[in-house]
Amino acid sequence: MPAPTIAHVDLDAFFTSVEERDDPSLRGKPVVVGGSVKRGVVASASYAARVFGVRSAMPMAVAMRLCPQAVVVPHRMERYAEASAGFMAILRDYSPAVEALSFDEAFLDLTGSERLLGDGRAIATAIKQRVVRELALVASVGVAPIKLAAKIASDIDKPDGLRVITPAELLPFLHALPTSRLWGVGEVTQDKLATLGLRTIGDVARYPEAALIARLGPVWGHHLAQLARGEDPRTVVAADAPVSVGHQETFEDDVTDAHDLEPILLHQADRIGARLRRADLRAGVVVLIIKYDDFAQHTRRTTLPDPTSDGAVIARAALRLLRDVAIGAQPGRRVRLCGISTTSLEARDAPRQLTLDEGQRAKGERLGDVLDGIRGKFGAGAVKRAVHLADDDE
Amino acid sequence: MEFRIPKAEFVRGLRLAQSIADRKSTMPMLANVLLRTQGKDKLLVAATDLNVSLTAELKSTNTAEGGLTVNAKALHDLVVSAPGDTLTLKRTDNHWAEIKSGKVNYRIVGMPDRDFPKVPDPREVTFGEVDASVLREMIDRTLFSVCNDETRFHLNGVLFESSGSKARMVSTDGHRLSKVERPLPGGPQLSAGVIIPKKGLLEIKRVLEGATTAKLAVKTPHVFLQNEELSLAVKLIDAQFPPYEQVIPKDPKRSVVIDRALLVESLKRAQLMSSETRGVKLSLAAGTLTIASDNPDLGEVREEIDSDYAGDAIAIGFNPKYVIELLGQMTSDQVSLSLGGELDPGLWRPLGADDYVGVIMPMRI
Repeated sequence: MPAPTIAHVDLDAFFTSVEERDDPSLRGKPVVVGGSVKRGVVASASYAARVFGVRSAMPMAVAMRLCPQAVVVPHRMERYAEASAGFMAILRDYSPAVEALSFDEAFLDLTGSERLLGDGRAIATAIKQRVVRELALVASVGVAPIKLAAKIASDIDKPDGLRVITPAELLPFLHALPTSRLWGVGEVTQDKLATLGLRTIGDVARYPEAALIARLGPVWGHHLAQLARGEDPRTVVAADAPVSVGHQETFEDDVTDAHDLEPILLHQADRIGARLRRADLRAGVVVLIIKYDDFAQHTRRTTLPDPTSDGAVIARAALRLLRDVAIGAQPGRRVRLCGISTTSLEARDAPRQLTLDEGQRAKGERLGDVLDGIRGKFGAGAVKRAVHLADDDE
Repeated sequence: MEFRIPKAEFVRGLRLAQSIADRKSTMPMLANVLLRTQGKDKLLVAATDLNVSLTAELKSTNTAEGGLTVNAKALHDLVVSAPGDTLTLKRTDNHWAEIKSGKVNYRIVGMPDRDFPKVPDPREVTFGEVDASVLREMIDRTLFSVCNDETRFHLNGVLFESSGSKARMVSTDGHRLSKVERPLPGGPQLSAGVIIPKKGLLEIKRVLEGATTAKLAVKTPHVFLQNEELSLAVKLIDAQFPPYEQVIPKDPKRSVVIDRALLVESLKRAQLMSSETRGVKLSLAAGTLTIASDNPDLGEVREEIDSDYAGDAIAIGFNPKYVIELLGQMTSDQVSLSLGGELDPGLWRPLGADDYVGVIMPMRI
C-alpha cells in the first residue's frame, strides 16, 4: 500500500484577513479581531499586529498594552462562516475526506485524489490559487504522509506557505524539530523530556521506547515514541453532520434583568435559524444556556412539537425557558453569559409529520429563507428586527 | 365530629376523591380529602387539585358535627381494607381521626378543615339532564387527539359547543383533529364553545361510569357534572380554540371507501415495519389500495386491499398510530377517506349517519 498523502490547509490570519479584504483601509495595519475590549480575548491578529507580540487567545487588555495602536474590529461571525463555507467547498472539490478542524483549517486525505488530480504539490498549488481567486484570502498548505507532519509543514512557511514532505523526507524533517512540535506536548512534557536530554524529535526517536514509557507512563511514552518514529495513527475523518447548532455570548457587564436578555436571545435564535437553514436542517430541541457571575451554568431544554428552522419559533421556546430561570441583582443570580443551543437536528427534506397549520409554519421558514438571501447580498445588518434597531450606532 | 357510614358508600366517594387529590402539589392540603358532616344524615366529601374538584354527598349517621381533612390516598386504602361493613370516624385532639371498623382501630393524622380550599358549589348552578352514554361517547371520540404539549395549553382540552339540543366536541394536537356532533337535549345553551381540559374529561368519564343520565351545566369558569351524589366541577381552559373549521377539507378531489376492520388490521401489520419518522404509505390506484411500509433497519411490508377507487393514482404517508386510533373510535363497517394532494390533510369519516370526522395531516415521505 502506498504511503498516504495528507494535506493540512490553513487560512492565514483568517478573521483579520476577512476584515482587511472587506475594508481595504485596514490593509497592512495591526488589526485585532476580538469581542469586548474589557473581557474579551484576541480571536485573530493580523501579521502586522503579530510583530508586536499580539497572539490569538491573548486577553484583549494584554494585546492593547503590547500594541496600543492596534485597530480593534469586532468579530462578524456571519462573514467568517460564509468565507469558511466557501473555503470548505473548495477543499471538498479535491477530496471526499475533508476534516474541518475549525473555520479556517482542515485536513484532506489526498491519497486517492492524486491519481486523478496530480501529486500533492499540484493539488496544494491549485487549492491555494482557488482560495486567492475565489475568496481573496491566503492559505498555507502542508503535505505529508502523516497528519502531524502535514500540520507542521503548513505552519513552517506561513504566511502563504507551501511545503511538501515526501515519505523519504519525513523522518529527517521531523527529527530536526524541537519536541514541542509533537502533538500533545506542552510545556510540562517538554520540560520532562528536556531533563532526559531530549530536545529534538530525533532525540526522542533515538531514546529507547521502554525507557520513555518508564518515565512518562505507558500511554504517553508509547504515543511520543510512535510519533517520533513518524507513525501517526490518526486518519482524516470527514465530519459528520453537525449534532447541534448554537450561539452564545458573554457580556461586558453582567445582566441582572431577564427582560434585557430577551432581545439578545431573539438575535441568537435568528442567527441559529439562519445557520440551520444554510445547512438545510431543522432542530427538534431547544436548550437555553445561562451562566451566572459565579460561573455556575444552568441549562433548560424543551422539545419542540415540530422541528423548525424558524428563528422566531426557536426564540419563543428559549424565552419560555427563560421564565424558569432565576435572574436578579444578587450575587449568583447575575448573568454573565446567555446562549441557545439547538439539537435533534434533521435534514430539512427528511420525512416528517406535517401539521395542520403547515401554511403558517412554512411561512416562518420561507421568511427566513428570504431574509437569508437579502443578508447574503447586502450584509448581515441589511434587515433587522425592530427590537434590534436600538443597538445600532448609525 | 363523629359519624357512621356504610363502607361501600364511603369507598364510592373516596375512590374518586383520591384520584383527584393532588399528591404532587406544593400545597400539602391538596393531597387531602375534606370530610364534613351536613345535618344529621349527610357527609360532604370533597377533593380538589384546584382545577378539578369533586364534592360527594354521602349518606351517613352523624352523632357530632364538624369537619376534618386527611390524606385521601391513605384514607381510601384504609377504608377499602377495613374488615367491617360500616365504619365510624371521630375527630380527636390535634386533628387526628379515629376510625373503627369491626375490631380494628385506626388513628390517622389529619389537618383542620378550615384550611381546605373552597371548592365550587354545585348547588349554585342550574343543571340540565343529558344522556350519559352520549356524553361518554363524545368524550371518547375526541379525548385521544388532545394535545399533550403543555406549552400549547389552548389545545390541552376538548372544545365543547352546545345549543341545548345539539352538542359538538372537537380536539386537535396540531397533527390531527377529531370532531363529533350529537343531539344532546338538556345540554347547556352556550353562546360560545368552552374548552374542557383533558384531566377533567378523564374524571368526568369516571363519574359517568354506570350512569344512564347525568346532570350537566356550564357556569364560567367551570363545567359541572353531577351523577346522583357525586358532583364534579372542572375549571375550563381560558383560551381561544383555533378556528377548526378551516382545517377540515371542504371538497377533496379524491375519495375512497374502505372496509374499516380490514384497514385497521392492515395498518397494524404495516406499523410493525414502520419507523417512527417514516410512517406508512397508502397508495391508491384504480380498484386497489396498497398499504406499505419499510424500515431501513428491519425490512418492508406491502399489502393490497380491494377498493372502489376510480380516481388518478396517489401515494400519501400517514402515521399509522393516528389512523388506527381514529378508526378505533368509529363503529361503521365502512369508512371513507377523502384526499386532496399528497401533502394535504386526509379526511376520514364513518359511512352512515354517524356525525363524526377525523382530519389527519399526512407525513412527508
